[in-house]
Amino acid sequence: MPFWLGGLGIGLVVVLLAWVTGKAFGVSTSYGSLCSLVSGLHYFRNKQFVESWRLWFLAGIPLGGLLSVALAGRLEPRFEIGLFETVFGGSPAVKAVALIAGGFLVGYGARWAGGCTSGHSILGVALGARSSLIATMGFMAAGVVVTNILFSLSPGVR
Amino acid sequence: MNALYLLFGIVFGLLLSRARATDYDTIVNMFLFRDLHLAGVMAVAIAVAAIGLALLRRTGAGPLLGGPMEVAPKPVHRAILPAGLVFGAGWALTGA
Repeated sequence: MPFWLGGLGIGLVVVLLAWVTGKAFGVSTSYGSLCSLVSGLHYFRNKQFVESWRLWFLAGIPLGGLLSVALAGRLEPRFEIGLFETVFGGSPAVKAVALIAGGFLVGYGARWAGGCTSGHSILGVALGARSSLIATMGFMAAGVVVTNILFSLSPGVR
Repeated sequence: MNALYLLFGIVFGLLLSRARATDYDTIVNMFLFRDLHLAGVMAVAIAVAAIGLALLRRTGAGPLLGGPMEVAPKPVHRAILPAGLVFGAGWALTGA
């Protein structure tokens, strides 16, 4: 799919969600909703997390991904992640540790920033929100720096 | 109603997959400035969302299902930049 078509589709999802339901497009807050199902922590009792629509929206995302590969006839589950292999090697344990550590940073950072690449970088930036512009600059800056460090430390990757 | 939100999620997941936004290589190639495909996806999505949301605001349209329009800028706080950097580091590690 060309970049403009993917962008057009995602932009329309944001607009249609707002137009039809009035809900603000976002993904990372839904993980808070997931936590609110099992955690009694005061933090997760916050109104933004106790909203069932987020759980349905979140559940749809991996289903859509699954549908995408199934329609393309590429439904072959595997634990190989392209260039990730060249950076972290082929050991499943090492890869799992890197993914869990990275996942922790993504989750912690998203909650701390109040949003992720969806709520901040797409919706927030589209609204011209200063918070979202700053957050997105942080996402991108750290992404560039950390990726370049990882790849410069990995022999054989150029 | 819940099925509608599920459908929104399915369409979004399908688009993410087809736009290769779920692909580690797409993400690191953007961060290494080798291929700006994903930056293009994000830029077009932001432009389309900005135009559509401005139209909604100007015309006062929606929500069609009733209830309040919850779309609003998120609050600014002092830690947003470091928080964003933490997220970005994780994004680079996992490609997620």
